[in-house]
Amino acid sequence: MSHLLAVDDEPHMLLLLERIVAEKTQHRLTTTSNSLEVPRLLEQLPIDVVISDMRMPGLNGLDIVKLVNQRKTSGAVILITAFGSLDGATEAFEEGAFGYLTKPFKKELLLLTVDRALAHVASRREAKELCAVFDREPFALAREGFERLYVRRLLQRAGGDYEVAAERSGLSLDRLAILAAAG
Amino acid sequence: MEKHSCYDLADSEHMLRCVQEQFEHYQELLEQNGRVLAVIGDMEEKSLGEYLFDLNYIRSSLEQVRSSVREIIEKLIVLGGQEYESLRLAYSTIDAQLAQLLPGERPIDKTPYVLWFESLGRGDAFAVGGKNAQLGELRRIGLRVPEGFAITAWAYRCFLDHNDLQTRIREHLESVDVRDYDALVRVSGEVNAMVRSGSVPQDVADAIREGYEELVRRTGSEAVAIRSSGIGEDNLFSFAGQYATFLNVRRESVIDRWLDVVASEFTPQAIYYFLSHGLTEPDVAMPVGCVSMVDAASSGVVYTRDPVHPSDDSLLIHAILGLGESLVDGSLTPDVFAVSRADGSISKASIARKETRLAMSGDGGTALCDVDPVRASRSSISEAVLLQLVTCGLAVERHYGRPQDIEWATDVEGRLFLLQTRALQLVRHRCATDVSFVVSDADVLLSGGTTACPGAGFGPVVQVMTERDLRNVSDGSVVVALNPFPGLVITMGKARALITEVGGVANHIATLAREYRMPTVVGLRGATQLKPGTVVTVDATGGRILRGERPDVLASRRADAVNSFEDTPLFQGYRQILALIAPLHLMDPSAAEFTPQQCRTMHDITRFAHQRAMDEMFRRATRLDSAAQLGLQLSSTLPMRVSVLFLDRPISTMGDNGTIGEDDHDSLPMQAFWNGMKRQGWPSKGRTSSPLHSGLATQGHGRPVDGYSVKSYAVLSTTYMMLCLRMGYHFTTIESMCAEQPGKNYIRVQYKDGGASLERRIRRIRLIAEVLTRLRFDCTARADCLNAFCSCFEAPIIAETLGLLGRLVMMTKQLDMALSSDSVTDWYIEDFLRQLGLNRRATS
Repeated sequence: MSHLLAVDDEPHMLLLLERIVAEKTQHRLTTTSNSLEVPRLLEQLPIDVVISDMRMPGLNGLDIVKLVNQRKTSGAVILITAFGSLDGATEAFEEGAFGYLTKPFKKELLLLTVDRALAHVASRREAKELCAVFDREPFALAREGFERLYVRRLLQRAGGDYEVAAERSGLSLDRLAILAAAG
Repeated sequence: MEKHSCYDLADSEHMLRCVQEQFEHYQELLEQNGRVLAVIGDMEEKSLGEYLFDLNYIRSSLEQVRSSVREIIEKLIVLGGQEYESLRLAYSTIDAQLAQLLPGERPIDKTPYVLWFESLGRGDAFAVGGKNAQLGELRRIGLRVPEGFAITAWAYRCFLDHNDLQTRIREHLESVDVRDYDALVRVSGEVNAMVRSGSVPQDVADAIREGYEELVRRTGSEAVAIRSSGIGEDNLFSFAGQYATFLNVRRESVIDRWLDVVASEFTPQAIYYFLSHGLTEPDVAMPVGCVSMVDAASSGVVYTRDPVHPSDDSLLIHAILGLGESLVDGSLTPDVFAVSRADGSISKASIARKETRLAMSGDGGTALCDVDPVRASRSSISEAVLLQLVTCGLAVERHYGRPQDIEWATDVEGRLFLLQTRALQLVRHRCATDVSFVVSDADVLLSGGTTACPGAGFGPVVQVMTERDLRNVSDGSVVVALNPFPGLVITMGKARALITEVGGVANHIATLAREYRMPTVVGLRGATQLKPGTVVTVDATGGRILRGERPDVLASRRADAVNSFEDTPLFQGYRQILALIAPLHLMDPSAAEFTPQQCRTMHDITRFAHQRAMDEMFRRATRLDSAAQLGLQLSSTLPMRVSVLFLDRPISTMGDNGTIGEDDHDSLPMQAFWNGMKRQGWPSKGRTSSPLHSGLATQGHGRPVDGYSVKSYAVLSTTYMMLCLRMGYHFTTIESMCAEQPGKNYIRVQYKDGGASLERRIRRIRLIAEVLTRLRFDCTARADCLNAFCSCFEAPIIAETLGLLGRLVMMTKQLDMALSSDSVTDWYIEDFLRQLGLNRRATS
């Protein structure tokens, strides 16, 4: 399950966001109207995507983009800007904001942007993981990393069934169990 | 024609300028009218639950509507005179109601400093705050509430004024950076201190003290609660503020606690709110309640519905021992009872273990006390109290017409008091069955339309090209029309979906569709080509039409049509605002109710002013005689004398021989119309053969008609035409806008007949009305006067229609005496339609 964080100083907006996320998705959503809580929340919760207002007291959207990108785990920030003002949004993009929505915006657009942001985060994380494997030295260590990743994916495909996974991959059940345990 | 003398020229120039100015006002009014309708359409669209928006959106939309409507009213007064000044009153009445719904926009009314609960009702929320007003209201409907009084918003205002606090607070706020939270916290503390150290005006202090003594006399108890009753607290458009409440307050500290509650308004969050919403000072007043303390044996909350499962039959009651504060702040676990709303049976009772209770301490304030072990595991209330709570709860819900969240307490004698009531916020659940669907491209018949009202509907297509076709619409039809003409209103609540090929979301029909929640798509090209009778599913949310019946799409869109935001404070507040903006009550311009006094919404005002402005310009057009002499003579191959005035050029640029060629101007609507006239050609006697011999020879030789000497004339700009044609005995006025945006475009025709007998005139009106209806005009005929209107077409269609109108004018010119019977009239109708190529189109 993905975990979203919504930050807006107007509680009305947070309530609407809560509704739509609860109603149309399986994601978890944490909200706050106090932007100064965001650093702590980012530390404590496995947040994948942040939906943040651009203009707020305390931290603004740009600060939040910076915070999220400083974290080790990848994440994406979707900014919400007022109609007709991209105040600071360009700068936020340079800092690596994923996207923005202009108020008022359609439910579907929000859901679509969140989906895209989640997909983006997932592929970023995957790429990071792969890169880490490639960067390993010596080769034996890299190979070990690859095998673990491979087995994890394999088991996912097989729905966690070791026998199916062994049959499809040609690996023995024992080997599979060892690699899976190591991963 | 002679050259103008210098004097004449200056004079004429002035007169022309006057006429031009009139039309400029008129066009500006039309422009603003379009703007208001567009904003209203946009606001309605946002109210359907498909969009997320915030307070700023509401504020800025509202501001646009207000400024445009004000402009429209002023323009109409310029055009039509004093009789329209009463619109200003209509506007300010509506505007005052709107101001009540948004904080910071309403001045505080002068009231006494202290108002007793028995004199209050829910309408007094602006003077005394929500909590106080509701207590008055509950008392009115015969429920027991504690004795008490409100210290009003006016007392608050006088206190601020007395200490010049507005200025001092404003100065303080000016130096704050909205983004610096620490600074907000600091300023909050400073403002708090300022308020607490302020001096209370003598008369305010006296009023509060007298109130207190009276309360003690009434109840025999010196203990009161000083509770915030902020206007913002129950107002839908406010940040959720946690204001202070003080329990068990005694005589000597009543005024200090009042100041404490007032000071609690200036939280960092509240200060941010003032600043970020452009409020220069904290206008959110803070009325306070001074309420006799109920020495609570037990207290709690009634939810008249289960907020998480609102469709259950249950009413929920939470109860604890002692004062209710520790329930509200969550520090004690309450007993919870679920009671059937239908028969009062208890379906669930979970009794919590009670270690402590909050009680009044002897010297003021409160203290936590241990609970007697014997009582600790018993229910905190008796069954009798429980049943009383159910009865009261349902009575309050009935009175307010919606589920309530009620705070209550019982005193040591077991008497039940209600302490507060407010609308209960319900949680809505996601549909258990997630309906999704896949549509293959092959199933999409048409796409690319604009959603005017979301949802979906299916049924057989009925093509409604003119008002006549409306009779083919039956229950369950899918109605397809070329443009959103007013007659379509009769399909509402009858048809399952509406599609128009042209038109936008900002017109009366789109508004009505949303009111009726009829799935509607506008601007869907190719819709009029759909074969009548074809069963289609209109996916209005997706702006497209699908082949056949699609239950999956229908079910999914039905789920969409439920607005999940409906019960949020933002939407509820927005709805109240929209109710003063969008609904249209003035429909029929000829009705007796079509008056400024009957305008209940901004839309009504706009509709009224738009209609009256058009009427004024038409009336004026028939009296533009003198101005007509200023114009240029249109030189044409047609033997007609037409003066032409241009709105977009001064007289001196019009050449000095006083003529302009029929092809030498750039007025699009005039070109289209004139070309139509030329195409039909000037009729000669006997050219039309009627099946019966008629008295055509008598044409034009009847009694002289008033104003016969009036020349025809036209007022033109590139996209606009007001043409007053004098042909024989008929007076035809045609006004048209032919611009890029279809939403602005329209043609208005007024045809006045003269000459022949009333009988014949009525026949001719019928003939013209028939043809115009075929041309998709809305026609209203009264005796010998015909009004016809069509709108929202794209420029090429407007031009084509104007061309056909030009031809029609020529064709009718010779008809003066020909219509000797109804059957002759019918023959002519068919003949005209055939000539204009309309017959074929209608039957194909």
